[in-house]
Amino acid sequence: MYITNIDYLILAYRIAMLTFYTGVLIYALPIPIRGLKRWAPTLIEDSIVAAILILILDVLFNIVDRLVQLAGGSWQYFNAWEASAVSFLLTLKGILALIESLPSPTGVLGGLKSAAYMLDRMVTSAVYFQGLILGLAWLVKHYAGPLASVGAILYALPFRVGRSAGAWLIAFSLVFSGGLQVLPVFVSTIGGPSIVGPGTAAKYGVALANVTVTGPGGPLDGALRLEKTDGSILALRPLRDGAPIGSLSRQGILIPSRIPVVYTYEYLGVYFNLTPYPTYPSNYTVQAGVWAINLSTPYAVVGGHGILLYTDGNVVNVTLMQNSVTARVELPPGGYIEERHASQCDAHITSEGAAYRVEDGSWSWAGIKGAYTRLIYDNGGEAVITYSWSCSNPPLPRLKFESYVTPLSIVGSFYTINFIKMFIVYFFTLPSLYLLMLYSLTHGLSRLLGGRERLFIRL
Amino acid sequence: MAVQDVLTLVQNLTQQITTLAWALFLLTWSIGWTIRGSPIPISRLKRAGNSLIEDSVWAAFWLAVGSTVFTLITYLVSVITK
Repeated sequence: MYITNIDYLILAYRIAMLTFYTGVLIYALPIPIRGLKRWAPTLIEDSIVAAILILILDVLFNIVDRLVQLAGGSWQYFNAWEASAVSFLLTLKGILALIESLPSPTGVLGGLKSAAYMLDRMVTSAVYFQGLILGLAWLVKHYAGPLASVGAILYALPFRVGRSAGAWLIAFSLVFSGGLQVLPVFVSTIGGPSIVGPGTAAKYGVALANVTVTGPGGPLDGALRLEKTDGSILALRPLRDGAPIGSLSRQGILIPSRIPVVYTYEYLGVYFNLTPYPTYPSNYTVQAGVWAINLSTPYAVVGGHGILLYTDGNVVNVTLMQNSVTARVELPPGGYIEERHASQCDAHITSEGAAYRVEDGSWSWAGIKGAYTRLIYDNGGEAVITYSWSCSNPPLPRLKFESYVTPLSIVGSFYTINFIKMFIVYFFTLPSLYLLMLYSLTHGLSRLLGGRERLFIRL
Repeated sequence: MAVQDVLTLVQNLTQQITTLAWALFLLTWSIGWTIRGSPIPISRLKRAGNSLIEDSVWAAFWLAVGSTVFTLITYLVSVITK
C-alpha cells in the first residue's frame, strides 16, 4: 500500500465530483456564450478521467512494484549501491585532499597536485550528484504515496487549474519510486559485470593506517618498509618515535586494504620482519575508517638516532635511560648481541654473565657509515648488557622515501583502468543517463495523463 | 484546517452547486422556450433559444445521472482491479 492516507484520495474524489457538477452548472447557465459553454463537456470529461485515475492510483503503484521485482531491483539493492558509491567517493576525495595538501617546496609535485585538483573537482561534483540521487530516493521512498495523492487533488481541480502540476506529480512519484530501485541493475547491466557491491571504501584498494613500530625497548626510529608478499615495494617511510612520517601525510600510511603485506623495520643496514608477518587486512583494528596496528619485533632493543642494538636471543627485560640501556638477554648457543653506531657517534657496550667473544667490523647503509661490535656467545646462556652512547649530531639516511600514493597517482599497480571506469561509468555517467531517462519518462507520462495534451477519452 | 474540514467544504460546495444547477436548469429551460416561442421572427434569436433548451436538457441529464456515473466508475474500477 503506497497510499497510506486515504483522506487525500477521498478529497481528490470529492473534488472530481465538484468539477463534474461545475460542468453541469455551466451547461445549465442561461447565458448562450459559446466560449463559456465549451467548458461544460470539458469539465465533465476531466472529472470522469480524474475519478478513474484516483481510484486506480494504488493499483498503478502495485504494477510499478511488480515491474521493479521483474527487473531485479529493490530498495535494499539501491541502498547498498548508494552506500558504496558515497563511501568510495568520499575516500577518494580524502586521498585527493591528502595529495593536494602535500608541501612541495621545490615544486616537483606540481603536476601531481594539479592532476589531483582536477580529479578532486570531478569527485566533488559526483558527490553532489550522489546527494541528489539520495535526496530523490528518500523523497519517493517515503512520500511517493502522499505526493501522488496531492497530485490527484491538483489533477481533479475544476477548470484544469492544477492539471499539469498534478499529472507531473503523479508521473514523478510513479516513475521515480520504481525507477530508482532499478538504478543499480541498470548501471551494472549496461556498465558490464558488477564491480560495485555492498561494502566499505576499503574494498576499493586503499586504507589509511596508523602504524606504530616497537621493539622490547620501546618505539623504534629508522625506516619502515612496506612490501607486497611477492617482494615488490609499496612504501618506504621514515620512522619517528615508532610512527611513520613523511611529506605526504602527517598521520598514517596509505596501505592496500585487500591483500596481505609485509612490514620491515630497517636501520643501519639491518632488516627486521615485523609481526604480524605477513600482515593481513584482518589484523588491523578499524575505527572511524582509520585502520590501526601495532607492529613489533622482539630483536631490535633500541634503534634510532644513529645507534642500533639487536640480538637473536630472547630479551627478558629492558631498562631504558637517557643515552643508555640495560637489557637481560637469554641466548641460544652461538647466539649474538650486536650494536651498530654511525661514525658520528660514540658507543660503548659491556656484557656480564655468559662468556662471549667479540667481532668488529664496519658497515655502510643509505649514505651512513659506521662500525659494529658483535658479541658472540658460543655456549649460549644469560647475559646482562649495558649499552651507552652519545650522538651529538645523528646522521640522516639518504633513502628515497616512497609512499603508496605514488603508484596511486600514476594509475599504476592498483588503480588500473577499472578505477576510472568505476568512477566515470558507475557513479556518474550511467546514473545521470538513467536519471535523464526517468525524467523523460516522467515527462511523457505526465503528458499522457493530461499535463499538456489531453488524454483522448471521448464521451 | 484538517482534511476533514476541506472534505466537508467541498461536499457542501458540491451540494450547493447541484441545487443551483437544478434551479438554473428550470430557468434556462423556461427562458429557452420563452425565446423560442416568442413572436419575434428573428432566426438568430430563435436559434439561441433552441441552444438554451438543448444545453439545459443536457444539464438535466447529467444532473440526473451524476451520482450514477460516479457509482458506475467506482464499480467498474473495483471489478477491473480485483
